[in-house]
Amino acid sequence: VSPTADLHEPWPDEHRQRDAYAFGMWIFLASEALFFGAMFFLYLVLRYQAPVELDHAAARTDLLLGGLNTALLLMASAAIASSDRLAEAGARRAASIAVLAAALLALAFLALKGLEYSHDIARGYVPGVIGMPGAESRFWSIYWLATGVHAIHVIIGLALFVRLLLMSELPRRLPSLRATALYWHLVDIVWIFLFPALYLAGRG
Amino acid sequence: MKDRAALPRVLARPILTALVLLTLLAATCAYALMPAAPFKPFVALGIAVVKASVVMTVFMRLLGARGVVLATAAIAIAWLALMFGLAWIDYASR
Repeated sequence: VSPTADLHEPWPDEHRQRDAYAFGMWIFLASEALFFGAMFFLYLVLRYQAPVELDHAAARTDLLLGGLNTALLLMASAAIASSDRLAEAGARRAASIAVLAAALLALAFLALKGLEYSHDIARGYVPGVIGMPGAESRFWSIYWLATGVHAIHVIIGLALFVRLLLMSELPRRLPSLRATALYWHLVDIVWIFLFPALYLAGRG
Repeated sequence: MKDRAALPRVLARPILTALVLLTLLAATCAYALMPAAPFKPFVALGIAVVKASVVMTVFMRLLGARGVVLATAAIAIAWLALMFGLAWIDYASR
C-alpha cells in the first residue's frame, strides 16, 4: 500500500494516522454537539414557556426554502460520502468531482439562506421589532442565532471542500478527506434537527 | 480505479441512503402539513432522530467503526443527554 501524502510524524503508518484523525475529529464533533445542544435547550425552554406564540412565529418561516435547503444539505452529505468511497477505491477523478458537487450544493445552500434572510428582514421577522410579542421576539432570536451559527459552519465546510479540491491525488489524502466528511455530516445532522424545530412547528 | 464498471457498486450505498433521507424529509413535511394530525412535534422529532441515525451509521461509518470511535460517539450522546437532563431539572424545579 502506498503511503498517503498526508502521512507525517508522529504516526508510523497511514492506518494509525487515519484512526487518529477520525478519533480527534469525533472528539471535536462531540464538543460541537454540546455547543449546539445548548441552543436546542434554549428552544425547549421557549416551547415550554410559550408554545402557542412559538408555533405562531415558526409557522411564518419559509417552509419551501427551508425544505429545499434541507434537501441540498442531505445531497451534499451524500456527495462527500461518495467522494470518500471513491477515493478509497482509487477513483481519483470521480472523487474530485464528488467533492466539487458537495461544494456547489453547500454554495447553493448559502445562496438560498441569504435569499431567505433578505425575505425575513423585509417582513420584519427579526427580534426586537416594536409591537412584536416577547415570546415571538425570543423565537426570532433563537432562529437567527441557530441558523446564523449553522451558516458559519457551512462556510467553514465549504472552505474545507475547496481545500480538498486544491489537493491533487485525493486517494492519497484519505485522512484529510475523511475528517472533512465527518465535519460536514455533523453540520448536516445539526440542520436535520433545526429544520423541524424552526420550520415545521405550528404548520397544518 | 481502473474498472469503471465498479463505480455503480461503490456509489450504490450513498445514493440509496440519500434517497431514503429525501423520502424521510418528504414524509416529515407531509405530516407537518396535515391538518389535525396528532403528536406532530414528536413525529417530527422521531423522523429527525431516524435521519440523524442513518447519517451517523452509513455516511459517518459508525457501522463497523473501531471501538474508540464508537465509545466517543456514545459518550457525546450521553453528555448531551446529561446536559439536557440536569438543565431541565434545574429549570423545571425553580
